[in-house]
Amino acid sequence: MNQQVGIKSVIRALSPITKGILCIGFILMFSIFCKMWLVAFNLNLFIILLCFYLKEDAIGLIVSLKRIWFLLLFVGLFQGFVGKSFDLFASLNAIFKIMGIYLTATLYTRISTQNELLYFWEICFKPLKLFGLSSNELALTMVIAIRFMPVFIDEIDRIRIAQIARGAKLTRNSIVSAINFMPLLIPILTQAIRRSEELADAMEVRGYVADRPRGRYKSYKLCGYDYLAFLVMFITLALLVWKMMS
Amino acid sequence: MILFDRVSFCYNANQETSFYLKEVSFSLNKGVINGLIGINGCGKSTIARLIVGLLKPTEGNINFKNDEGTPYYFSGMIFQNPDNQIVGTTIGDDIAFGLENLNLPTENIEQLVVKAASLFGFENMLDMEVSKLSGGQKQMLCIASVLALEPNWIVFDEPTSHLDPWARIEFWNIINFLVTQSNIGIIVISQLPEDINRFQHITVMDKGSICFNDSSEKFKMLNELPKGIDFPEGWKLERLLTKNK
Repeated sequence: MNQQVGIKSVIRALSPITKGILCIGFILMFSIFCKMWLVAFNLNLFIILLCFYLKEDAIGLIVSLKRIWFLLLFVGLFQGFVGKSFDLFASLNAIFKIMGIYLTATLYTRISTQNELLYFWEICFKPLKLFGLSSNELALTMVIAIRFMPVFIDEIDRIRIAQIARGAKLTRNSIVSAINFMPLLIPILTQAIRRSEELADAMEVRGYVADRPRGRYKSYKLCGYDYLAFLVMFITLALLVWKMMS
Repeated sequence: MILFDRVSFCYNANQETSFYLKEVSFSLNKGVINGLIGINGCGKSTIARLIVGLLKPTEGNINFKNDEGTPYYFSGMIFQNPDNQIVGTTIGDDIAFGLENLNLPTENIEQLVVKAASLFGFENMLDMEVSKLSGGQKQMLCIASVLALEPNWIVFDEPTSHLDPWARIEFWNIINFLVTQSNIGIIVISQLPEDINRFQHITVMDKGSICFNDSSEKFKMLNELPKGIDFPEGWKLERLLTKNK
């Protein structure tokens, strides 16, 4: 997730509602309105150029794509071979769509603090109350999952190194090693359960009761930049719909 | 004062082998470092969980006497591994977590976060990522997060086991500060001989029962130590010198 907190920029100063709507909006644009590879490519370019302009870590964002290279390759090939012959444009379109969704989601988690994510997701999950589900509980679960991601990566690495020291052949970049990773699942799962039990106790001791109303450390209000961001998204969306219709 | 009055507790009453706390009665006072020691599985953590309310006694009562409790929070607990109890991504978020649970207004939360953070020098680091802190700093953050709630008692469950020697010194300085300068009762669970050296009141547990509950001075005088407990090296030397005189 690579959350980078403590950095100040225009995009980070946006309200969590704006950030969330922009993220969902761009994901929808990529998945529904991008019918041509060039449009999807331009939207990707727009996100990267925006990062450069706003002095966000655009290079880091591009480099992070290597994590999904296999998915991109698989989707590209699969989409290309759907017809009788290989369709390069359909393949590129699928690749740029996945790329765009990934870049949008990564940028969103990078520029949002935990409290901002929690605030927006709580709003999103509110309709689930009709089915008896607690919006706060769901949002907090998702935020804690993000918070513990680096801890689990460290944990996996520690167990991996311990196994290598004992003669296991575990490297990072081979499919065979992925099979060898299977025995690591049990210690990782055991650790995860133990951690989650202790975390649940720690939360309870600090007064957390599921479904009880909670206060807020930070309050959020819409400002001028939020309206500007909505305008940019609206114009982009209008252009895409116009392009699709014509 | 915490008063355990014939408290019994069982995790699973239907299972004969289940751990059983047998009619435990003892008291702990504020103003001293209370140490709770004993071998693994003797019931130290169960006692801690009963004090903070994570578990309810099956029989008996736990009374808090002469404690003017804050209107919203009573006792907090610090666990062994700081990584497993930090909820927030940033220092500010984590200190605020407990205060948010109490449903306090935003202005109050902000003030209490700054107040607790300033005790540990975190006031200018509220936006700093928790993952960038050292093990000792993470432990301090856990203490700050509990202190922000202004509890009457804090229970530390083996708090020094994940700390390096320098962080341990820092930790004990904080504990001494809390005991002398605040009105918070301190209970520390530990098995390390060097920690026993710091306790002023010692409670020893063995197989779900209390086998000693008195001052550290009287503990020093014991001729036979409970199973699995060892004196700190300094105490051993002291006893040897007294014997040879």
